[in-house]
Amino acid sequence: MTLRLQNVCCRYGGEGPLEVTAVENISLEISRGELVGLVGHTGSGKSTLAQLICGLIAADSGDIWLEDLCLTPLKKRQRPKAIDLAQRVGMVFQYPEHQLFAETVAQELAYGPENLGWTPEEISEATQRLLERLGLPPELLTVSPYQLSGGEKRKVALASVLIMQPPLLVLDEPFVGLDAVARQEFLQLLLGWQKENNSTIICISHDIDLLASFCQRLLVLNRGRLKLDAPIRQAFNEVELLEQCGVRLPTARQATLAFQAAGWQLPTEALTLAEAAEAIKAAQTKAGEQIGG
Amino acid sequence: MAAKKGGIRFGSYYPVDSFVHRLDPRAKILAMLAFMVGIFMVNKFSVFAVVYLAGFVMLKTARIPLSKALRSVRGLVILLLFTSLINMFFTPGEQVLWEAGLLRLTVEGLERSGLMLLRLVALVSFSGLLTFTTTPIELSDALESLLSPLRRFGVPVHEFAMMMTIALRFIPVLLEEADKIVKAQRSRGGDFRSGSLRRRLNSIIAVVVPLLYNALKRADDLAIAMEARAYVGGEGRVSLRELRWRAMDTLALVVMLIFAVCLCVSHF
Repeated sequence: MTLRLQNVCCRYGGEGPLEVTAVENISLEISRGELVGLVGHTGSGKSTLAQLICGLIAADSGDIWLEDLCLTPLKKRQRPKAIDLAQRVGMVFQYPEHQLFAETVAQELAYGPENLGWTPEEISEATQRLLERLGLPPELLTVSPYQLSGGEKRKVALASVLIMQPPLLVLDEPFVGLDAVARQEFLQLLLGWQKENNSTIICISHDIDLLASFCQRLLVLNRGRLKLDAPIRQAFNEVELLEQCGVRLPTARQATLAFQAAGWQLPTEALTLAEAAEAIKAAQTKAGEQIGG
Repeated sequence: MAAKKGGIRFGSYYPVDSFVHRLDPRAKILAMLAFMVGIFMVNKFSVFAVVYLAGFVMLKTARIPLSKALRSVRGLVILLLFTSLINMFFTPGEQVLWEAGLLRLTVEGLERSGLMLLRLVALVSFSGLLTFTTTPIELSDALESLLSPLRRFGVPVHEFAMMMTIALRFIPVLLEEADKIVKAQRSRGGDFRSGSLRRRLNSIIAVVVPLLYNALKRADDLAIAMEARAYVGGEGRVSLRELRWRAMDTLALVVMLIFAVCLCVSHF
């Protein structure tokens, strides 16, 4: 499923002194299965863009297409229904555990599929499969979601969206409030699910190291404009642009650049610490050979 | 008023700088009360012309677009229509213009319904002069200050004002949260507009339950935070925003009082 945006603009606050342009003239195309990171400092329009893509708010101008579904019809009445949207795109909001409402986890997970008109058998089968996938014990199903720990709540909230198997999944700061270990675990669960469904993932996060570790492509927003759209490795070569947009380089990239600045000769492409270590080691060996030879 | 983006906006403060915006909120509240009383007393078309002229001049001074002031009238169209029709056809009078069964259109009826219409539209559109130019927090501070003499009679004025301030402060927070939860459930296929009654009800529960849960949790946190900062109530508290009464406020209030008295006098 391809996502296409063409000259999309979105403003808040009506006309007058309260008007704010949140997203300005954005065009891009994302194809099925891509892992995309969306970054920018606070107020750069990331969340607005995410909600536009999910059809949760209406654009003021421009076109958004989810494969064959137009999210921006000319007539208000032709706006896609919640069900049509939910079949194509899932959105995980910041602090998704704030949306939990059901009496039991099982009911919580069933809410989305029920809205989509799945049969009870389909729902219970999907629930079993997903719990296994996310490493949650089946006893959890009969517990109230409000009794769970913070990390478990987050997982259940994620599961309540994943269970609908949306071809496009948009996550807004999914890692906020999780510790480093929980972040990794959460990410691995997400990526495992993604591989199974070949879904597209668009992930907003301020954790640039985490994004660098799994994204293939990076979108950088600044003041509502798309400043950069590049494969992730190349994206971090735009050091100055990223700095202007308030986006930090991944730690690994910073490390290799620091070594280079100190006079070492080494590639600076590293995205993860392991890659950086590899590059530094190779440079060290080479230097050793030169001295030795 | 629901804004376009599905986001819900509360309050009508219009953030521009003007003479009226800078007036002491207490002066504005008292002046508005006087103006309202004055408008109620008017019973001649010629005086209404003066009222509207004065109102428009004040809106202009406050730099509020006319369209914005009139927008508040839009929500009351049905009420206005209803009252004018009732007044038009059920006012007893001598000079009958038209008659059919119970309905009687008289000159007196027309006159009365016209006056009532003018009165209501003036009340609604000019009351914006207060709410467009004063933030809710200023309003609640001003009320606390104006009502403080009641403290002598054991009325917990500070507590009321604190409750009002907190409520006002959290309305936008709760609206934002409601908006977020609605969107989250919508992206899970929850639909409030179509589908069977049971499905719709279920969708509403999916919004109300987490909203209530979060609100209670937030209230709890707030209580603890206030206690942690040694909040014990109104006794001996000073305010960060001191209201300051200037000569301008006296002048504006006096002018308005004179105008209102004139309006009242015109009644007789």
